[in-house]
Amino acid sequence: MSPYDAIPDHVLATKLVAGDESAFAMTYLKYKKPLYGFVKKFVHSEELANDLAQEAFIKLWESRSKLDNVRSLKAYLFTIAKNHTLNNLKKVLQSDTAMPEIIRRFKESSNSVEEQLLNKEYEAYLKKILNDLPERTRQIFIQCRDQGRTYEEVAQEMGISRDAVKKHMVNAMKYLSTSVKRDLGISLSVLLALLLDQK
Amino acid sequence: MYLRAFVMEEKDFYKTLVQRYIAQQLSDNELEVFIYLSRIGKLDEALMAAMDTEIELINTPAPQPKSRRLWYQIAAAASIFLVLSIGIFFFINNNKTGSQINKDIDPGGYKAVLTLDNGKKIALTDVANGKLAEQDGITITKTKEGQLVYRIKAEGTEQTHVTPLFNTISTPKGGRFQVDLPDGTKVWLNAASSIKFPISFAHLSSRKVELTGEAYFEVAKNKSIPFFVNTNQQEIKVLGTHFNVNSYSNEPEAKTTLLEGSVQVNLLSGNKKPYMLKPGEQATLNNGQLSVNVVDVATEVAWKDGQFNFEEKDIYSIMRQIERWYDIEVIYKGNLDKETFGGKISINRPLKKILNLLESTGKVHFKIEGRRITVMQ
Repeated sequence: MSPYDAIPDHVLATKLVAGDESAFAMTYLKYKKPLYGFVKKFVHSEELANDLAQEAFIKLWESRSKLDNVRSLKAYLFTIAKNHTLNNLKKVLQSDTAMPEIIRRFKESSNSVEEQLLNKEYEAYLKKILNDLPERTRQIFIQCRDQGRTYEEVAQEMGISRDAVKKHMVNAMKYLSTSVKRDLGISLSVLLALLLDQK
Repeated sequence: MYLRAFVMEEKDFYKTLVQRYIAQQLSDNELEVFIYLSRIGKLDEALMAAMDTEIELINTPAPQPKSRRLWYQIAAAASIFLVLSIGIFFFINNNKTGSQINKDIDPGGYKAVLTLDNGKKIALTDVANGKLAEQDGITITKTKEGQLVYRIKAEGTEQTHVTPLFNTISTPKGGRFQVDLPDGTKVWLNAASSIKFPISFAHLSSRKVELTGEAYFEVAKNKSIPFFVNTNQQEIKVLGTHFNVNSYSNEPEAKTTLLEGSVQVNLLSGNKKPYMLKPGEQATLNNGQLSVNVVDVATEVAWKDGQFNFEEKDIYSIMRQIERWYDIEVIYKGNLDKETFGGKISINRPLKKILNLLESTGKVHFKIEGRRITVMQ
């Protein structure tokens, strides 16, 4: 458990509304792991999950004024992440060039077992949809199952900002240096090391 | 006896597809269908619902009365796989978040001890990734996934021994491990189990390993060097195949389940004829008697993919599995013989979640004192 967990959400929320960037840093440190884990479950790509989770934090920062009317900071943050993840998952899957990223990552750590026994009804359904599948989708799927684009290319095409939090943090450095030391009792360089080393 | 509910609607299909996507269990065909359906927006609702369930799980502060609601929700979401077993059923999706928010007994993890031929012991949980040991021209490395890999360093550097060198990997209660043997055979070792094997099969006429407890094998094909698994009661001869051996000394039966290929089961005592298993069959050894049944193989090897899968199991059998994984002591009070339970649950849940779900059937209750669990009616 990190020391940031000790700061209650309502304190963080109040500070966030007031525009306190160190509160943002602390919220980030407190929730980055569970949020990343949550997003990863639905996109399977580590890089994409990392970027989407970071963007969710940025969205939280950008809409911090609304936190006044929100019951729970955590619930609000996860709702942002939920909508952001669903939108982007669909966006990525709708792009013929970005979809391979998901397929490739999915298959890299797939748990699929050939011997797996499936519910008969389920299989019948599956077969039916497979037969109805438009030829184009099929071709694209087969093409991109094996070949992949780099994640960088995909992120660029989708307009996903890489290291969103990092950029934001660097900009906020001068605000942070004093308040971090005051609130966390650690130096800014330690905090930045924590933040910037995040994979 | 139980009934399977075979009623599937479009919505149920979407739900299952999404759940299997999250659990990364989709086959190529399913993945294709998943992508197609998400593109046209048909999975939005199911994805949203799955995300809400996930958030609910993250937000649920451990035990207490909430579990009823949680149980209800998850059961509803999983309705198509409903197994009705005299009204007793529980199910929970693959989920790893629970353990962070619970101070009760955590599930086991990837841990094991490697014993080298010279008696040196290496705790596989604590060691860093990378090279662990080098013996006889063979390097043993641990990958970042916690797997152990045996590699012959270079052709010809291997020495020939009159007696081969052996390594043993053993898991404690609450530990599981996966190892790739020198011949490429993959072994998943369940909790409280051990496997002893030669560090190289190169100059041997057969590949013999000794097992206690339970393991799942995917044996690398090599027709000229047969693979044998020896337990205290039986010998299983293999020619490249996937199978599971459950041979815990505290289980009444030793079970060998074949998924693919063929294996031959020989009893070590008595003059029984060897039995050749076909895929989907399970050989059960009980009191020296071997019987063969067709079983749901997915249930038998569910542990390997991180699930407890109980089908019509009595509480004793369920508790023995739980005991091995959570490293607890179990005591029984009263007569619990009658009820059987069915259902699936991730092995990554804290103990209380499992006990709560079992309790929600109303057929069994638990008292928890430290690591001692009393099971009552």
